[in-house]
Amino acid sequence: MSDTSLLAVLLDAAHATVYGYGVLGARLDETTRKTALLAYDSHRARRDQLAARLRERGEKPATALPAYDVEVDSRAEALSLALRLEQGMALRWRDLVAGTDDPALRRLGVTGLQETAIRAAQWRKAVGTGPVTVALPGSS
Amino acid sequence: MGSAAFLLAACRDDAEPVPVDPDDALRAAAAERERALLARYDAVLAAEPELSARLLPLRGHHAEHLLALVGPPASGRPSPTTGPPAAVPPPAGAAAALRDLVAAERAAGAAHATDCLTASRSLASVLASLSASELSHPVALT
Repeated sequence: MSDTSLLAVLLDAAHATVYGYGVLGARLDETTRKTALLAYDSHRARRDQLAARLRERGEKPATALPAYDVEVDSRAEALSLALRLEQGMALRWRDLVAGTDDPALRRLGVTGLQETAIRAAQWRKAVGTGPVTVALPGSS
Repeated sequence: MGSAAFLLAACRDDAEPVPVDPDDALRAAAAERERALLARYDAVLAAEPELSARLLPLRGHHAEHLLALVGPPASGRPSPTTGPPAAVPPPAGAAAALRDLVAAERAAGAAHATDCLTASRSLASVLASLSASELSHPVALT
């Protein structure tokens, strides 16, 4: 896959992730909502970076869909969705690292993967069952 | 056919030297960092056994990391999941020992990420994953 295709896939996922965090925050308690707000801001910043990298390559970055299929009715569902969003982004950040030779994109990919792994651990800790961390973030 | 090709290859003593794979040094350095982390966890586990429930899963990740880098041990050789003795004993007390592990994880995570930038694609994706894992460990340690 080309660098632009990898970036486009990541951008689509980032749009969906930002939307998901916008929905799930309302179901969280005060402490976890703070974590969600930080995650939301971080994903938005990465989304904008991905769009900028695509524009630099002469591509027109995709905009977000009007809505995504997301339903969150409880705190437990919100935590579960937040974890899935991070895991989904982690896979794609790792794909970027594995698929590019551009050092700047690789650095972006590693940073993105680190951030999602840290947040995934925070969400697992908030859920409170099972191990907090995984051995190989971003691998399915 | 295969053995003939091997013989031909073996006889090419006038051939250019086999180029060194730059991944080899990066993989060896990453494995060394994992062995050092294993040793550090072992030292803390010996000094603060009450931390076992929290530390053993993380120690397990480092053993998996080492396996991802160097593969399983050949039979008859010592297990690579056993680290060398820690050069520096952990600070006294559970809280200080945990802080020490947090710092060690972050340092290893940063070094993996730096080496990831110059590695081949396949090693880069392993190092990126290891880096992300180390940097997530402080969430479990604090």
